[in-house]
Amino acid sequence: MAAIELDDVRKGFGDVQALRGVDLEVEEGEVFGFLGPNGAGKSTTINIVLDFVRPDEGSARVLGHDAREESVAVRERTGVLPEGFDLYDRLTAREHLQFAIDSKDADDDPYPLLERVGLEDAVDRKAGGFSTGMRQRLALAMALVGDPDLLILDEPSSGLDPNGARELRELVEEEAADGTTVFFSSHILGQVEAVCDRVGIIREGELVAVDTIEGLRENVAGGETLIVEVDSVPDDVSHRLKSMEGIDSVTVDGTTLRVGCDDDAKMTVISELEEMGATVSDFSTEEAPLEDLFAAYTEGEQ
Amino acid sequence: MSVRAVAEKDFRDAVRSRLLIVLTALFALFAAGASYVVTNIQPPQQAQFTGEVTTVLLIVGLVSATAVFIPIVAIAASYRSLSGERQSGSLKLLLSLPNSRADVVAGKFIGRSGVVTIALLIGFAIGLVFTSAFADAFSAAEYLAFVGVSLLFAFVFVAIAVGVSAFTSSTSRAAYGAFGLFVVFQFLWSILVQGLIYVLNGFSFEGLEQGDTLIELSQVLQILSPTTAYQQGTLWTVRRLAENQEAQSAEAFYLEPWFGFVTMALWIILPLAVGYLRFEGSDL
Repeated sequence: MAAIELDDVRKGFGDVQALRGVDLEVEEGEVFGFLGPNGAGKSTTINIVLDFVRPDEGSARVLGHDAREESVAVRERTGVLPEGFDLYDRLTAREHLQFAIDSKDADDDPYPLLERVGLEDAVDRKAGGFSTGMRQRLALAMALVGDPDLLILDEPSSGLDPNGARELRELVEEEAADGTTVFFSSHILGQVEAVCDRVGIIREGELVAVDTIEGLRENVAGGETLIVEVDSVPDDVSHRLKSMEGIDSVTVDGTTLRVGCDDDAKMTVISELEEMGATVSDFSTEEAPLEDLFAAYTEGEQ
Repeated sequence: MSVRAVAEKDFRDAVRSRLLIVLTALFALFAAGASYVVTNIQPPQQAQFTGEVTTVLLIVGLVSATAVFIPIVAIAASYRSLSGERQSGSLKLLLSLPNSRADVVAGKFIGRSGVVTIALLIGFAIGLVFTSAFADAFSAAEYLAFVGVSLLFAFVFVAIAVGVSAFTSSTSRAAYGAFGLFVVFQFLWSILVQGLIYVLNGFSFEGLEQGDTLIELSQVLQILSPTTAYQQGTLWTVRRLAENQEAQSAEAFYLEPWFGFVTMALWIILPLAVGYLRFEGSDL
C-alpha cells in the first residue's frame, strides 16, 4: 500500500492554477523529498494531503484513507510540521506537547520528546520567547507524538542553523530506520540529497520528475562536466565545440576548459581539441552540481 | 476526546491573556458601580413606593445594564478565537493534529465559555459584596439565579462570536461581525421588527389590531432577540424564586416567560452551526 497516493489532483485559486493534474505515489517506509521552487505547488499539495484545502478534481489517499473524508483518521497516524505555522505564545513547550498528546490520545511523556529535539532546557518556558529555530524544534517534537507512521515536513529546515539542519537530518534517518515514511518538501536540493530515497520535482503545478538522485543525474543532459587542461587554447574553441552534438556549454579559464557534455561526447571533445592543434595534458570529469541539476528541471524549456 | 483537548488548550491559552484581566476588572467595576447606582441613586419605581430595595428589585434594575455589558465581555473574549488562529497560522498546528473542524469549533466554544465564566464570576462576586451591602433584604438564591441566567446569556454571545470567527478568516471582520450583531440585537432589533411589520402591512401601521397575524408575528420576532430573552428569563426565574408573583399563563407558548431560555438555547446552537458549516467547507 502506498503511504501517499495522489491521482490527477487539480487545484486553482482564482485565476491561478496551483496544481495541474498531479499524480504521485509515495511508498510506505521511504524517505521522499518533494522539491520545487517557491510557488510551484509544494504547499498546496501538502495542504491537500492534510485536508487544509480541497482539490477541485482528483483524489488523494493517505495511509489507505481518503484525505478528504477520513482526514482525522489520517492525522491520527501522521506527524506534521506545517509550513507558516505559529505557536501559542502563552503556553509553555510542555503544554504544547501535552496538547498534541491529548489530541492524539497518545501516552507519550513530553520530556523525552523535547529532549530529542534539543529543547530540554526550555521545557517550562513560554513559546512566546522562542527563536525561530526553537519554534521549529517544538513543532517537530509535536509531530513526533504518538510515533506516527508518516511524517510530513513542509520546509523543515527553514529557520534552522546548520547544526539544527544536521540534527534534523539525523532525526529523519532515525525515524526512517524505524519504518516511518517521511515526506518532506524543500526548495533546496542539497538538503534532500543526503537523506532521500527518491525525490519528486514539481514545477508550475506539474510533477516534472520522480526518481532517485542518481536517476535524475542520468536523465539530465550535461549531467557531467569535463575539465580539460591544454597547453594553449585554440582560437574559436568555444564556438566550434558548442556546434557539436552532445555539448551544452564551454567555459575557458586560462588553459583550463570546462565542457558540459553528455557521457558519449567526452572522447569527441578530446579528439576535437587535439585536431585543433592543442595538446591535452590532463583531463577529469566532475558531477554537475546539484543546483544545476535542479535548475535543469525547474527552469527554462522542458 | 479531541473536543476536550482543544477546549483545555484554548482555556489555558486565553485565560492568560492580558485582555481577559482587563475585561474582568472592568466587569467587576461595572458590577459594583451598577449595584450602587440601582440601590442608591436610581432605585426601581417599586422601591420608591415601598422604600425597600429587595434583591429582586435590584436585579430588575441591574439586568438592563448587564444586558449590554455581558455581550461586550463575551465578544471581546471570543471574536479572535478562530480567525486569530487562522491569521497567525497556529490553526495549522491545531488541525495537523487529529482534531476535526467540528472538534475545533466546539472546543473553542467550551474553552471561551470557561474563560468568560471566570471573568463574570469574579465580577459578580464583587458585585455580590456591594449588593448585599446595599439591598435591604438580600437573598442569595435570587442573586445566584441571576448569575446563572447571566452566564447562559454570556454563552449566547460567546457562541455568536465563535460562530462569526469560524465564518471569516480575518480578525477585523470577525470583530465587525460580532459587534455588529450585538448592535443589531441590542439597539436595532425592535426597530427592524417594526419596519418589517410596516412593510408587510403595505407600508403603513393602519388597521393593525390585537390578534392579527402580523401583530403575533411581531411579538414572536421581538421575543426572538437574545437580549429580550435574557431579560425575560432573568425576571421569570428571579420572580419565581421570590414567589411574590404567580406565573401568569400567557396567551401563546412563545409569550410564556420561560420561552426566553428556549430562545437563548437557539442562539447558542444557530451561530455555532452556521459558523461550523462555513468553516468545514472552506480552504484554510
